[in-house]
Amino acid sequence: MSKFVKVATTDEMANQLAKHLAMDGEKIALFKVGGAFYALSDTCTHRGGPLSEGDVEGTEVTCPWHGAKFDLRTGAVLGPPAQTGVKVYPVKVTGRDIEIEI
Amino acid sequence: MKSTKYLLIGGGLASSQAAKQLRAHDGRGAITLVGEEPYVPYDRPPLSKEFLRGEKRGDELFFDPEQYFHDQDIGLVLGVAVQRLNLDDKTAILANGEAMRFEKALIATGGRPVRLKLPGGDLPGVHYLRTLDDSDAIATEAAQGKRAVLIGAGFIGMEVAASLTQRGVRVTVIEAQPHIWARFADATLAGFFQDYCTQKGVTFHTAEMVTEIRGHDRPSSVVTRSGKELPCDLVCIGVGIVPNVELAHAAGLKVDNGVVVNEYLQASHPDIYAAGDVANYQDPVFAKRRRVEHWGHAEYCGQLAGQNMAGANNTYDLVTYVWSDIFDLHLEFAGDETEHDQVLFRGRFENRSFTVLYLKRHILTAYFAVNASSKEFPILQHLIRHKRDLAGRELQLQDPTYALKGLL
Ligand SMILES: Cc1cc2nc3c(=O)[nH]c(=O)nc-3n(C[C@H](O)[C@H](O)[C@H](O)COP(=O)(O)OP(=O)(O)OC[C@H]3O[C@@H](n4cnc5c(N)ncnc54)[C@H](O)[C@@H]3O)c2cc1C
Repeated sequence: MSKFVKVATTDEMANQLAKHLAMDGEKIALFKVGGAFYALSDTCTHRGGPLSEGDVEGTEVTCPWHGAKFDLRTGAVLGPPAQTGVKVYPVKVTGRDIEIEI
Repeated sequence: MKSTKYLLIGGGLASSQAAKQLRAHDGRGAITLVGEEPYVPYDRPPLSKEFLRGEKRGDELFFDPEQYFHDQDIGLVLGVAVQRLNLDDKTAILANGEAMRFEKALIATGGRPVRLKLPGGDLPGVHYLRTLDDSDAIATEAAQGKRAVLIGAGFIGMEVAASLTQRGVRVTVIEAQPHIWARFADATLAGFFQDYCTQKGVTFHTAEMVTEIRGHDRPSSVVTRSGKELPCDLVCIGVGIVPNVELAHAAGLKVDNGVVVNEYLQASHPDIYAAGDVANYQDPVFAKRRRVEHWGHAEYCGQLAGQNMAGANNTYDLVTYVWSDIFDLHLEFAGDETEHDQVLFRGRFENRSFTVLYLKRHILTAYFAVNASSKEFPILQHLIRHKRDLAGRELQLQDPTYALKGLL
């Protein structure tokens, strides 16, 4: 069963645009764009690169390893070499707590 | 006689990527993929890593399930080699005797391991590693406490050394050159890795060669040039590959260290293309002919060939790269290391996180990153591609706290 789990606080993300989260077995990347938070798998579907270390432009992240691009909102592929999207996780902000549904 | 619009020869990464692009750009043209191995196209890198360590099963390596090919209407002929190509009437003769007419064909036959001619080299228990079956055979013998001798310390050899060690096998690596990775690493970098692997339990004999494998029905020891006899239970040989060019050569196509192709990946006959490990292509970044044996290049070439076979006119434009996993070290390597007159270190070996930069006449030609911040890779690739003059920037390049963005 999925549930919302607290993963960070808005204070923590004040000076940060991305954060890597290790949640029992799953690697998740948390991004902040403007005031919004997005969570997606931190493992690129191409060759496993860490999306949380990638460059973000608007709501597009570029994998630092080989340049695959994904939409932060949907996880969809926006550019090669990846061919399949990454999983996205619903995010909820309650007060200062950032929660992810896993 | 059977016929197909597009014939894809070889059932590896390049062919499978070509099939996808062909289907995307030509919804109806008949596509037929003929592969000598009995499997749908699968991923080779895990054969020396996750699969060999027992962390992935064979069926997890297939890029797509067989159903996918049905759904996409891509014909599969597996377990059958293409034996002959006749370019005059554009037919292929398969090993099962069938003939197939085609309009355009892709040669993506990859490569095969270089075989060492050694006494005892044909004993069961002497392995090479290229296919799923090869890796399966090694994994079956790689039980806890066994002793393995690995001949050749290239990328794959070192990965096998790490994976077998992680399975509890006692590994000895024998390398003819004075240090491991002789093809792309200098002595300092290689020394770091050698020390690291030694700490993890791997034994090295460098500047040393195996002259004989001894044993009755299986290897029991290897004998070296300097006269050592090292007991062992299995032997793995990884001394490089040769491209599978025989088919192309016999068909009269131009072959020179691979099937020679132009920037569109067209061979010397305009309806024949080649991609991946077997292709000898013109690299626009380094302005010279290269044959590259890396996954990303095969993937890229397969896509490019597929697009062009379907009528596009796209040209090759990739900064080639390769990765490797050795114990807990992740390596990312890009560019052409053979082109350098200067080597700079960014970060320190001791921290196990650093990038080695290769420059030629102050232009970055390659980098070799070990557990390094991957944020810098796109910038480094940009510097390579656009040939930025980095004269006078040496101190900044060597300072890991300096933000490389400033060099763009
Ligand atoms: C153990 C291992 C680990 C690797 N690890 C990495 C890595 O970490 N990173 C990296 O970048 N690269 C790695 N590589 C290299 C990468 O896998 C290759 O570059 C890539 O597979 C090349 O793809 P290809 O399609 O050109 O050829 P292949 O994958 O070799 O496929 C060619 C296929 O064609 C078939 N064939 C040959 N002749 C014929 C014929 N006449 N008719 C029909 N079929 C034929 C062959 O049987 C084979 O199945 C590794 C390779 C190996 C073996």
